[in-house]
Amino acid sequence: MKILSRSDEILLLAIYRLKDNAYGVSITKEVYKKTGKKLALGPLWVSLDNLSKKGYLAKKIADPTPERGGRGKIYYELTPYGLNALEEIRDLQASLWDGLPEALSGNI
Amino acid sequence: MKKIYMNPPVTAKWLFSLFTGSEEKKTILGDMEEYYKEIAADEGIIKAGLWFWKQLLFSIFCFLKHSIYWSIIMFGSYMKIAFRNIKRHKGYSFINIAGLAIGISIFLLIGLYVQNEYSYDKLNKNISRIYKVGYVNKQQMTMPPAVGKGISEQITEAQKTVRFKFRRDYYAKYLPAGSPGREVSTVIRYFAWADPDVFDVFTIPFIAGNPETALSKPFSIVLTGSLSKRLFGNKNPVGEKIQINNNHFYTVTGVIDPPGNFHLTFDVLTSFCTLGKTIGQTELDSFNSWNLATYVMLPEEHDKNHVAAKISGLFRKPIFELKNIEPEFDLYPLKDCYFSGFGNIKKGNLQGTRIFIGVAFFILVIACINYINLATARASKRAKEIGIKKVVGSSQKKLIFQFLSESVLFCFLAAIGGLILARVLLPEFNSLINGSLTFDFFYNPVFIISFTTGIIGTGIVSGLYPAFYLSSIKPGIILKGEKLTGSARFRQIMIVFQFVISAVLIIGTLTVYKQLDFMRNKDLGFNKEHVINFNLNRDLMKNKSIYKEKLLATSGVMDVSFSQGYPGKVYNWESFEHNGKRTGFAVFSIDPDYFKTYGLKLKEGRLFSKDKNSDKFRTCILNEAAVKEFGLESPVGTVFHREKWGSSSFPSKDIEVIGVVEDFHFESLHDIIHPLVFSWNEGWLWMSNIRISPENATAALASVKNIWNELSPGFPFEYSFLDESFDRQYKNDERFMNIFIYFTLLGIFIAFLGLFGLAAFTVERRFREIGIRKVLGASVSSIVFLLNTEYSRLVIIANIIAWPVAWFAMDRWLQNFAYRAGTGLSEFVFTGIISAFITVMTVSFQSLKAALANPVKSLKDE
Repeated sequence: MKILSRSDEILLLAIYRLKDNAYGVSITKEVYKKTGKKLALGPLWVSLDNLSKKGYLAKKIADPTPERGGRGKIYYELTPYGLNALEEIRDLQASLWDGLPEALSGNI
Repeated sequence: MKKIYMNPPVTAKWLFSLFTGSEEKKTILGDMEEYYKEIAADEGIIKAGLWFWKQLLFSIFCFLKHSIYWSIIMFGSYMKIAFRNIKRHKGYSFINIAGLAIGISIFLLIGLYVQNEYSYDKLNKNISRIYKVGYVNKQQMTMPPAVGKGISEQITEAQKTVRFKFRRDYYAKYLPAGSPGREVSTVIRYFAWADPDVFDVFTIPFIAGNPETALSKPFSIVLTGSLSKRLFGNKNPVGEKIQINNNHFYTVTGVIDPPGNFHLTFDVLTSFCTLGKTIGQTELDSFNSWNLATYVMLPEEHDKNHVAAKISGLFRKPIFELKNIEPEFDLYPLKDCYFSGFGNIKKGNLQGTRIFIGVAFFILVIACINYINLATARASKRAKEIGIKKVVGSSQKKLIFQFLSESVLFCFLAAIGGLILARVLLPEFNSLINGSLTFDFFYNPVFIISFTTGIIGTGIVSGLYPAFYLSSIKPGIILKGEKLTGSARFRQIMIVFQFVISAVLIIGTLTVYKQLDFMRNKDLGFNKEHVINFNLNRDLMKNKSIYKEKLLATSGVMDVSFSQGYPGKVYNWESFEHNGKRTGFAVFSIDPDYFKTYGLKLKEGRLFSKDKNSDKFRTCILNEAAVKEFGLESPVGTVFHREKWGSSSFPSKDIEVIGVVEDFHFESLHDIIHPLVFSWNEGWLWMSNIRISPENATAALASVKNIWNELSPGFPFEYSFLDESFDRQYKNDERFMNIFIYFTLLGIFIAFLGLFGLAAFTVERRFREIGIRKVLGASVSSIVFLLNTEYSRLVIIANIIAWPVAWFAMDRWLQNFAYRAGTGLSEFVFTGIISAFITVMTVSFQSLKAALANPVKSLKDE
């Protein structure tokens, strides 16, 4: 089972939170809200494409709308495999931090 | 109104769409528009526009990385499949790769050779400014010293002039000062004289010494590195003295390292002015000996015809007075000198080189055809894989890409094999062509890039047809269970093409062999066996008659005579006038015993007689060709009259013809027999011709050597057999033939490999048919016969096409020779038999396997 990288984790969790409304623009906004990082849309699509090729995401293409200059939207959704990966990473996180005090500094 | 302003910049959008294909990537644009509008609403159009452009740049960069990454992964998976395929069909893959590898290695080796040939003299920095001086139409390419002198003094455009002369087989001796008895001597194969400008005109690297002054003083000598090593070891020889021919002492003024691809060969260079001391200054400035190569270097901007005309004008009067011909000079560019062989020591064979390029190309074609044939024939084996791929959704484009990359992979593997093979075969190849090629040429980036491109190109070209064919297989066919084989007609055409090339090569080889054999064995009109030649030295020249007596007294020595040199190689060019016509002839000096030594036959009149002293200097003997050239009906008794003569073999006003000898081939059979005039002039006789009896040859040789040492102590004794040196002129042709044979064999081998694989496949395909035939009662032999007839038809067609092509090509090549072996039918018939034989053997072998198999096995499949 491959361990998710940090940025993968951030994207997948953002998509999870967005539920039915996870597409390019909304994902960038969500990620910005949580981490303060502004993602560019092109690279974002590439990362999401890689994630879906690896099997963590599923894509759904919606109909075009005029506000988008006549182009469709791609909605992303977590697959069970993706959910599993997220849970694995959460467990990993827990085990890594298990037993450690709240404030690390000052306590060697 | 607001809406219009809220649209993202059109240029940016257009640029973006360039980088996105017809995929979902376009949706990103939608995302970007949406976001743009939000930013435009919040922060204004300018900020939004900037953001848009930033997004664009990031995205494009990312897309490129992305597609490269996935293409590599795709390519990787294709490679995995390709490797798996190769392993699964080891036999067939091996045949294909081996064939291609052999083809590539041949191509590489020939490429090395050709590149070396074409690189001759190109290392000279001033190559575009250097010309060789000669007559128009190459009638006379060696000049007397006066020409070079006159040009350098009077023609301003000739910035530098170089005269070059060489003699073979001189001896050099070095006596180290203070250690008597430790002398070192060696033979100098090519002893050359050159004007000091030689280092300005030609680019010759100096290892020691100063090029400006090296050849300015007489008796200065410059050694090549290898010669210096032989005499001086690792010591710097500059300043030392060496003795040449036990005569003069020369001071070493430099050591040079001339490049291998320089058409002038020499082991040493001495200053031209030395000749002023050794043969006299007047002789040096004269129009007497026409045996120098003369080169001029013109300025960057020049008109060579103008300069040539100037030279003609300069020498018109003196040459007319001497030879009664009006000279017309021409300047020949340096880059043409190697291939034209203007009396160089090294001559390149332009036609041969071109032929080799053709051969290399053809062999490569044969190998590629193999690949195409085998790949398409094997289609049915891959049918399942292709069908499934198509059903799952692979596009034809993707499949084409897959198969193309497979064939490129094949080519790469073959290229690696080919490189290794070429490296291994290089020493053998070098001995074949008597060269010293190295792989250095391959280590430069230009070559590596073009080679890789070439390999990829070959892969693509040979993979195109199979790729298109395989990718167009409809899935339905596989499911229905039909067997595919590709166009049988196309395959047959390819096979015929291969056979044609092979047949042409075989016929060519046989013809070349026949011609060479003919030349070696043809009756030349004189006896060249068991004759040794060597140049006399100073001491012997004075005692010629005593020398001859002693020699004849030795047992084992049959005949002794003296001559000017080798017949046809050395002569004086003099003009004769008869019936108002003036023509130039080669005059060769001999003594009366010469005819007996070589068994020349007298046709009319008489030979020189030792009893008649009046025969000397004033009489001549012609060969038949000379008689024809003069147009004499009754040659004997004709007298040539002249008022003046230069340095001539006939120092006399009148020359009488006393006899005619039958023509004999004193030159190579490439040429017709030229007119020859014999004179008896003791002063010009420098070479001994000694016929020894074959029975006690070694003893005879020892005696000859003893007599030499007795009469001329201190001179090293070197001799050569005439038949060997004679055969040496065919060495080039022999080498050519050897190379041709090797490559033909290899080409045939590759074609044979292809046939082998194809036959195996065809038989396999018809396994069921054969099984049925067996069950129905056909005998093994009838099955074999059946399969053979199919291929035999192809062989016959191929031969029919090949014969005229080969005949035409060989006819062109044979025009190099004035005397040709008769063109018989034997080569063609033999080729036909050989190709039929190979085919029958191969096909029979494969079909036997099937014919002997148990029919139950093949029919079980149903």
